[in-house]
Parts: sequence; structure tokens; C-alpha cells
Amino acid sequence: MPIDTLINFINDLTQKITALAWALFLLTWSIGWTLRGAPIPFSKLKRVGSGLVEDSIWAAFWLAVGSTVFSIITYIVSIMVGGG
Amino acid sequence: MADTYDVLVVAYYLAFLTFYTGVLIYALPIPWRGLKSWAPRLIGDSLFAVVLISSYLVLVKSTDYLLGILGGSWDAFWSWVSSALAFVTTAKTLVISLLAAAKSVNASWILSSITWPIDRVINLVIIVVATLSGLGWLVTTYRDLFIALGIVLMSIPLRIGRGAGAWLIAFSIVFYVGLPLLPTFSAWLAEAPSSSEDLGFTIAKARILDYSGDRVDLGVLILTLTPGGDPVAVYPVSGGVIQGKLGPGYISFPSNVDVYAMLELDGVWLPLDPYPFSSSQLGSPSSGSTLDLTAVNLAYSDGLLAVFTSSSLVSVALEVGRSNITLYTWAPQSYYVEIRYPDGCNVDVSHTAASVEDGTWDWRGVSGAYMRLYSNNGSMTVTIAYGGSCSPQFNAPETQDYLLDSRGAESLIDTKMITDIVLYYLTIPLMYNLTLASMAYALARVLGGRDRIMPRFI
Repeated sequence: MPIDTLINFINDLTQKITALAWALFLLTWSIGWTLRGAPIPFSKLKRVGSGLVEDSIWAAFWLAVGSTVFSIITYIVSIMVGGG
Repeated sequence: MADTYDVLVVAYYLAFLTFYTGVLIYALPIPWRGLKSWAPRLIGDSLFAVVLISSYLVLVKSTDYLLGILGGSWDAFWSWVSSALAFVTTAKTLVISLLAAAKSVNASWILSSITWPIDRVINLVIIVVATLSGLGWLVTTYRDLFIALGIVLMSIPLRIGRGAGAWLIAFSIVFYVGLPLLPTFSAWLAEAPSSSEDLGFTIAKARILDYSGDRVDLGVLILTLTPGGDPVAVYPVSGGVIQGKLGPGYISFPSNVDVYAMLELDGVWLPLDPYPFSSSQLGSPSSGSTLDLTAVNLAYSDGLLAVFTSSSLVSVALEVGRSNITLYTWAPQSYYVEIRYPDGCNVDVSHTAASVEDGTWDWRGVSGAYMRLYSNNGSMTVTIAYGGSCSPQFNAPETQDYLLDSRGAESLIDTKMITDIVLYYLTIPLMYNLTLASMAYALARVLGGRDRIMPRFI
């Protein structure tokens, strides 16, 4: 398998996973707040909601940081390798 | 072959993939701690992989640096390997020769019992040295690629190739730095075994040629340590092959001293060039070089007739037909050509010689006649037509081999030599490589070869 094909495959997969991660962040964040705000007096359920919100915020944080840092790295690498 | 930097680019993209897989797990709306615990682990792994990729050049250069400060050198390693291979090849030749000789000497059971274990040890040494050589070649050729591939394996999501990658990186670093130190390590702990030349003998394949480079079929080869001295070895020659006890064509002689070789044929002794010769004139035994002993005063043809010329003759040309030989000679001074043939060989000589002298000879049960043809100076043409039985059936003496008969093979193989071989070429290199392997394993663990080690660092 040519190395470019492999890189394109991994890159494509990464983009899809990133898009899915953003979508799941919104979903998890929504579900989390829904559970936290639900008029159900179960503290365990509310803790699950809080956990989901917290996780989704971590996910958004890493997505933002990762996208920035990795974009810089990709840019540097592409300059070094010459368009890779 | 993949370029190292392309491989590193793949590692980068795999690290991104690992990172986003971790983030995806964070973002999953599934409140299951076991699953969620993989999220920070994968993000950590990806950051570690990025650090590793960025440190690729540092890793590569640090191996060179470490090698330098530890005093190792690949040149020294390769010279150790080649000297080891030369030694074991010589030893193997010796053992094979001794095994062959064991069939023909009286104390064959002593030789066999000593040489069989040595043969096994030498086989093992050859395998070990060849493996080390292969390992050295692998590490020097593919170190950069192995490190890059190790990083790629470590960058694969979900720690699938983490152990393998860490091992590959650790192996490359440890063996690249460690293997060149093997000669120093071996020299510290053991003494290099003596080669056969240090033991005072050399075994070589030899052949006897006449002045034109044709093989001499018959005669007796005699080796002495002084011109005309007592023989230290006697080898009959039959069918163009020296009948040595160490194998057809093989002779043994003392090392590092001058040895004088003579050919005895039809009642005359002929010095063989180089006169004298010594073991230092031979190439490496492993190169398969043959010792050519040349009778410069002899023209020999077809195994049928021997023609001797005086040593002052400067030019000889020979034409050989089915049943005749024409000899054209030339020299600025007076000289003679002597033709010798056994009884039963019908010879008719026509010549342009100035004078002729006839006589007879007896040699090892064969009698014959000679004809000496004199020339004042200048050229002479001699045509010899022959027929009948010209090849003398002489009483061949019993072979007296220098190593087996004059010196005694049993005295050569002592336990110290075997101990040295086993220690220097087998035990210590194996021990050293096991140490390197365990160091590589330990370094692989530090790099994250086992689960739950890296998260402790990050």
C-alpha cells in the first residue's frame, strides 16, 4: 500500500471521528443537562447527568485544544515533508 | 523500502487518530466508567506518541552519542566477527582434516574422540557468530527505520502495537549501542584462542606444477627445514594429487619457518619454487588458496615423459602432440637438456644438440635411461617420439605427514584451547547478548511496553 494512501485513509478516519466527536459532544451535553434538569427527584440520575456534562465539556476542551495544536503540527509537518 | 520520514508522518497521523478516538470516548453519552477511563488514557498515549515522534532525531543521535562515550566501535565489532569466522573456518578445516586422517593413523580412536566434540563446538560457534553478524547488520542497516516503525506501532490507537513498538525501539537502541562493545567485553573476561599458526603448524592444499604450470602426475614430495636436510614430511604424488593423510591434496608443515620442498622423480631431486616457502606466503585458509609448488627446471607432459633442463636455461617452448614432444630451448650460454624415461618406454629422439651423453638410473624399484643433450649456446630443438609404458610404476614411500607423524596430532588439542573457544566465542557472546536482551526488555517497559506503566508517568 503506498504511504500516501495510508495517510489519506488515517486522515479521513480522523476527520470522521472528529466530526462524530463534535456531534456526540452536543448530544451528551444536551442529555447531561436534560438529566440534571429533569423533574425527577433521583440524585443518582442527576449525578449521571452532571458526569455527562462534565465529560462532554472535557471532550469539547480537548477537541478545541487538539484541533489547534494538531493543525499547527500538521502545518509544520507539511512544510517539512513538502505537502504531505 | 519506506522512507523513515514517511513512516514518521504516518505515526503523526496515527497519534491524531488516537487522540480523537480518546476525545470521542469522552464525548460518548454512556455513563460507564470502565469505558470512559480509556479517554484520558488514549489522549495521554497520543501526546506521548507526539513527544516520541518529535524526539525521533534525539533518539537516533543519542544512540550514536552513547556509543561514542562508551568507547564502542562498529569497525571493532566487524573485525571481531571476521577474525572469529577466520578462526573457526581454520579450526573447521583442521578438524575435518583430522577426522579424515583418523581413518588412516594408528591412534584413530584418540583423534576421533577429541575431534568430534570440537567439531560440534565449532558448528555452534559458527552459528552463534553468524547470528551475531546478522544481528549487527540488521541493527546498523535498519536502526533508523526500526525506531520509526516502533514509534508508528506505539501510535496505533487502543495500545494495539504498544508493546511491539516499545520493544522495537528498545531493541534498536540497546543493540546498536551494546553490540559493538562485545569484543571489549569478551577480551576482558577471556583469552582469544590461539590460531593453528600460533600452534606451530599450517595445513594447506598444495599441488605440484612444472615450469609451464601443468600438473605433475607422479613423484615424491619431500619437505625439509634446511636445504638437503632430514625430511619432516614425505608425500607420494599419484594421479596428479598429493597423497596426504589430511585429505587428498592436503599437506601440513611448520608455521613461521622456512620450508624447503623438493620433488623426487625418476631418480632426480628438483627444488620447488618458492624455495623456500613459509606459511606467511599463503593467503587466509578461509579464502581457499592453494599452495602452488613449481618445478621450474621440469617440463612434464601427459604423465608419460619427464624432460629436465638445466637451471641456467632461460627460454623453453614446448609443443605436445599425441605421441611426440618438441622442445625449443634457448640460452646465451652452454646448457643441457636431460630426457629421462623408464624402461618399457620406447623413445626416439631427434635433436640439434652439439653432443649427447647417455646413462641409466634406478629409482624406487624403477630403472630407466637418460639422455643428456648439450648445446654450446644459442638455440636447440629436440623432438621426442614416444610409445609404450612411459609412466613409471615406482614403489611409493609411506606418507609421512608433518602434523600427524612428525609432530603428533594429539599434542595439539589441549583442553585450554577448547575452553578458550567455548568461552571466547560461545559462552561470553551468548551471556552478553542475553544481558542486552534483558536491557532491551527493561527499556521497552520504561517506554510503555506493558499496560498501565505510561499513565503513571503522564
